[in-house]
Amino acid sequence: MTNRFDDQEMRNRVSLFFDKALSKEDEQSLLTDVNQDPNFVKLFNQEKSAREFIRSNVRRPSVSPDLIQNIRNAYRD
Amino acid sequence: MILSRPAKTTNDEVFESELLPHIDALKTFAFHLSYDEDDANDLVQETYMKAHRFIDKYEQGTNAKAWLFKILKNAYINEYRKKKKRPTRVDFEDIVSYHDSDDSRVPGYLDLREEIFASMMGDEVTIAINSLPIDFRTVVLLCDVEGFTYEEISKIIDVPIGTVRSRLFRARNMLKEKLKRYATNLGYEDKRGRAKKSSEEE
Repeated sequence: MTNRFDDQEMRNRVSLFFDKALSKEDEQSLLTDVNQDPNFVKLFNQEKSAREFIRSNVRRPSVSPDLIQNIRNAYRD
Repeated sequence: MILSRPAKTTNDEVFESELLPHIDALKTFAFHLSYDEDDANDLVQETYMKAHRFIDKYEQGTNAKAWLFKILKNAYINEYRKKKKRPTRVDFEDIVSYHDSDDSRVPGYLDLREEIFASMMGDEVTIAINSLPIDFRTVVLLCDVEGFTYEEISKIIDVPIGTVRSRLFRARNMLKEKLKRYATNLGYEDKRGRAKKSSEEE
């Protein structure tokens, strides 16, 4: 059974992983640990889902062709 | 008489091939800073005007996206806070006091079950992000939406990497708390604590 400190440490490592803030060695070490611990797998997948949900559901207003043309016209003047 | 079109300059080629392709990402960032599509268009246009004016400062093949985001961030601070007559320019250093890791009001980490996401519509994410204070919103947009690293974010918003990390920690917890509230309003109930308590009592 993991204690609270281990849980927090896992969360920190997972967060750093998805922030691309780990070295290649640390990434590999984390993925190894994830595969060996069901709690870690769950935590990893939850964080992955949360990140993907936010990234794919944030509103992204479209860029009109007029805006692009205005930009081109401005610097070509 | 045949008039020949002037050959494209190298700067124009760089502008078209390296800078303009980031316009969608810039528009998204500008929109979530200004909350207004027209203002976002103005910000994006101003960003590219400045980028073209200072294109000699840009090193071809380097991080165009980060460079443009920094220009846009500065344009936002300079123009839109003045325009909206915000009481004071937020001093980034003041935000350090927000990031007290011993703050007992905020849990260390907020969990959000995968199944909650499945039933949410996308608007909740936009509403939740846009309700964050500007400095928290910025780091979430730069890291979680646009995928910048801590170092890139640090350079874009001119704060130390440690501050980027602590803001992200706080911002994500705030975001998850807001999304958890939406989930509760949809009828989801967090029964995990109840189940754990009853097993401890046995």
